[in-house]
Parts: sequence; structure tokens; C-alpha cells
Amino acid sequence: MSRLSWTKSIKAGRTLQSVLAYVALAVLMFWILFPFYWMVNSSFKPNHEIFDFPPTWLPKEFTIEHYKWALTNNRFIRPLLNSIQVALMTTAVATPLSALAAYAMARYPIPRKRALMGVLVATQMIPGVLLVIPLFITFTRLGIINKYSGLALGYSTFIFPYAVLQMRAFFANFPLELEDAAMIDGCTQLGAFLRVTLPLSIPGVVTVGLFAILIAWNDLLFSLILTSDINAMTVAVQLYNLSMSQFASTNWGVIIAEATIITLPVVILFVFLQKFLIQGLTAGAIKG
Amino acid sequence: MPDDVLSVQGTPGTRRPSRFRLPGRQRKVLTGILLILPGLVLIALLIGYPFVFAVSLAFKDLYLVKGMDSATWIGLDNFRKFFADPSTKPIVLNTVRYVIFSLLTQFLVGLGLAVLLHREFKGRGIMRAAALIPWVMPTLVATIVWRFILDGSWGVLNYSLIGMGVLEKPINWLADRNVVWWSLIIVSLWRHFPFWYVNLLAGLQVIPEELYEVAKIDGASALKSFWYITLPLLRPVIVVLFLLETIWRSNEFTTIWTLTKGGPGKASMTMAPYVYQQSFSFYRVGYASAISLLLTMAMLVFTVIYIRRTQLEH
Repeated sequence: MSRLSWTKSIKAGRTLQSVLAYVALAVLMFWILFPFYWMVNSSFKPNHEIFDFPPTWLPKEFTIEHYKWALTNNRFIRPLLNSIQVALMTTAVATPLSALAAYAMARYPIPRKRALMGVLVATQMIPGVLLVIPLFITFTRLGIINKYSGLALGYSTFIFPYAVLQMRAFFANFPLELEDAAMIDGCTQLGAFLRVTLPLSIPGVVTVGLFAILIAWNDLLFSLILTSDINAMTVAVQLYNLSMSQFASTNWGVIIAEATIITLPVVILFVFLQKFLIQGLTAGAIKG
Repeated sequence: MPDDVLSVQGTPGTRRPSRFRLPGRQRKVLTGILLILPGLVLIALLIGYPFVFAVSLAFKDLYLVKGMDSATWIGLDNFRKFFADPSTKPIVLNTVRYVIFSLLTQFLVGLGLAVLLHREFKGRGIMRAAALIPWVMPTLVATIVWRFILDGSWGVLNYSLIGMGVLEKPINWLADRNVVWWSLIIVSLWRHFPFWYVNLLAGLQVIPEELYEVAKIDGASALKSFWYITLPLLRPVIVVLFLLETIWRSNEFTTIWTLTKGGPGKASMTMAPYVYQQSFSFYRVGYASAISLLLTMAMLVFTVIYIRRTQLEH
């Protein structure tokens, strides 16, 4: 084989490889995105069309009835507002607490630091179903069952270890020289943190705040057990109840519209923050 | 750098005077402890105390129907009951099977997608982001949409497969005990693969490009350089992913419960939803606590290995 045709066949091989790669990518992306398309598509169909055969790839009779039903119904609005409050409270409590703790773990001489890190990691390995039983009993006895402050405090606690580990890595990599310069100018260590390190570590902090919101917004297990009253229940609980009830057999339209509504804020948050999210993840979470 | 050295260098008088002046290092230790204390108190109250409570419940016969204070100490009876119950074995096996299948499929898809999206092409950025969305949406929404797609009588999957002539009659994806299993794996894969993909992609990005160039000069094929360069260098990330995911998938509740409730019968029941069912559908709280304690203990090995690894790193 001459040298020329040899490089040619390699080139052909490369092209074939690229084509195969694109096909694989297309198949995967279709599988990843189809459920979203199908959710949004179905949410604009009247109930009878949802059950039509063959299925319609775009709504034949476009309707916003389901959204109207959900957004004018207090049984959906109330839980939606509850969820927003729980998510905001969670991030408001978890983010500052874990930022300070993470900085302490990165820069202060704390005794038994390794053991402490171990404890933080270990708390994340306890199954939720184990914790929810005693929490249910304790919250009932204390009278904070069906209070979303109790729920938010719970979520703040569950996110705390992860948040500390994540931001600790962030702060530990922060150039010491900058902090030293601030301290020479008269800052204390904590002052250097608040004036120099923290403002420059916004991506890490934002990631953690976002995570706290996600955890609170997405959770079902704890909210299902700790909030059953309409005035405290999260929107996930409401949607769960709806999707498991008799209502579901005929009114899938409303369920899928509500599902779309509660996904929307998450996706918007994510679109704005995905760079931070990926950066934060790659900086802290897993590094062999 | 210790504080006292700095105060020598700093301009005198700029430091805030304090009434107690501890030696620099001790003061730093104290400040550090004060900074982590609030979080630790929360952990003690909302994780530590419930954990101890659950352990004590595991040795009691608390039955919620009889009220919250009806518990008496029964020693190891809950554990004996669990090991004697004929429905235990299939549930434990289901859990193991669920973990193994989830981990393998998620690893393969996650790695495949990471490699594909590591290549340079137009639109890569938006695809990288889009592939993460299944992971940020609420689990409940994911399972609702999939229940919608997989429905046995009017789901779009059956419609499409019949329309393309692949199937002759509809399959009850979530209600047929032989099939439900695969549906669960597919949904779990869809929900959880992004975590693998994003971490593996991050791993790929730190592998120096020169290694591949050298391999190419030495005549190695793409497959060979993947096998001898990419995989070994990704190994630390892969090991950690397997450790974490073993624990998380074993403890998994929401995906399974909201997709199938462990059904039909107990065909897709695993440990965590079983604990939930025992405590909140049947009110056998003591018994459920014992099972969840066994689950925690089974995960202890993986937890210890993982903690060792994270500590080595620091």
C-alpha cells in the first residue's frame, strides 16, 4: 500500500468515526430531551387529545385550560408559594452558615479536623428514610410538624455538609498572598475572608446557594412526611397527591401542566447558573 | 501565617482592641470553632439526634396506630422478624440488582456522553448544558413524565413501537412484573446519568492533550489510547463515582416510590421504599427503623472507604 492511500484510508476511518459519533450523540440527545418535549407538548393538549391514537406531535387543539386551572386554583397556588418560601429560607440559612464553616475548615487550625470532615461526609450516607421516621415523631411532639420553617431547617442541615466540603475546596485553593496582603493592611483573618476571599469566590457560593434551592424544591420524602396540611405542604407533595389520586385517571393534562410549571424555575435557574454549577462541581465535589 | 507575626508587620493600632487577649493561635482555634459551631449544632439536632432515636426505635415495637408512646423494648425481635420474613430475600435481591444495573448503565452512558461531548464541534456548549437538565429537575416530575410516556394503554412509547411495527400489542411497562424492572432502570438512568457524565467530562478535561499526541505518533489507535490513557487516568473519578452511587442508589426512595410504589406486588420494591411503606403505610415504625438501620450498616463499608479516600486527598 502506498503511503498516500494509507493516509487516505486513515482519513476515511476518521470520517466514519465522526459519523458514528454524531449518530450516537443524536440518539442520546433525543432520549435525554424527548421527555421534556413530550411534557410541554402534552400540557397544551385537551385531555381527550392526550389519549388520542396516533399521538399528535404538536397539539391539534391548542389549549391553555390546564395552566389556567392550575394557576387559578388555591390548592396549587398555596403549595407553590410554600415551596418558594421553603427554598428561599433554606438557601438563606444554609449558604452563610456553610460559607463561614467552610472557610474555617480551610484556614483555621481546628483540632480534629480530619475526624470532623469524616463526620460531615458520613452524614450524607445516612438513608433519608431512616431520618424521616424520628423526625416525624420529634416534629409532632414539638408541634413544628406542618410548619415550613421546620422543613427549611431540615433541608439547611442536609445541605450543610455537602456545602462545606464544596466551598472548603474553593477557599483552600484561594491564593494566600491576597489574604496576607489584606491582613498586612490591618484586616483580621475573618476580615480578609469577608472583604477579599468571599467577594472573589462568588461562583462557589452561588453554586451552593443554588444547590440549597434545588434540594428544597425537589425533595419529596421529607416534605411528604413533615407537611400534609395545605398551608405548609410543598408543591411536590401537592403534585404527588394529585398524580396518585383518582383525579389522575382522567385529568392528566392538569398534572402534566403543573409538572411543567414546577420544572420551569429550576430550568431557568439552571440556564443562568450552569457555568457556575459545572465550575463548582469540578472544583470541589470529586477529584479522585 | 500566625497572627502574632502579622501584628508585628502590621501598623500598630489598626487591630481592634479586645478585652480578652488570648495568644494568637488559641484565639484562632476559638474563632475557627465558633465559625463551624452553628452548622454542627444543626447537624447534632437534625441528623445526630434522629439517628440515635432511630437506632433506639429499632429495638422497640413502636406501632403508630397505638400512639407515639406505645413503644416497649423488644430486643432483637425486629431483626429476627426481618430475617425470617419470606418477602425479605426478594427485596434485598431487588436492591442489589437495582444498584448493579443502575451503576453499570449510568457509567456506560455517562462515559459515552462525556467522550462525545469532549470532542470539539459547533453547539457543544448547549448540548453539554442540556444533558444536565434531567438531573436538576424534581425527581417527581421526572417519574410523572415517564409514567406518562410508559403508560400501558395510551403511552406514546407503545403507540410509537406499534406504529413502527416493532410491537404487536401494547406492553404494560409499569404493571407487568417481567418488564417493570427495565422501565425502572431506564428511568433511573435518565434521571441519574448526568452526575456521572459531568464528573467524567471534568476528568477528561484535565488529561493533558500531549499524552494523546505522543500515543498517536507511536501509532496507537483511538481505541488503544482510550484504553491505555483515558481509562487509567479517569480511574480515581470512576472509583469515587461507584462508591458514592452505590450508597445513593441503595438509599434511593423517591424514584422508585413515585414510579411504581415498588409494584406490581413487590416486583420492583427495594429497601428504602420498603422502609417507607412499613412505617408510613403500615405504621410499623419500630420494624421499619430496624430495616433502615440494617441498610445503613450495609453501606458502612462503602462509606468508610469513601471517607478514607477523601481524607487521603487533603
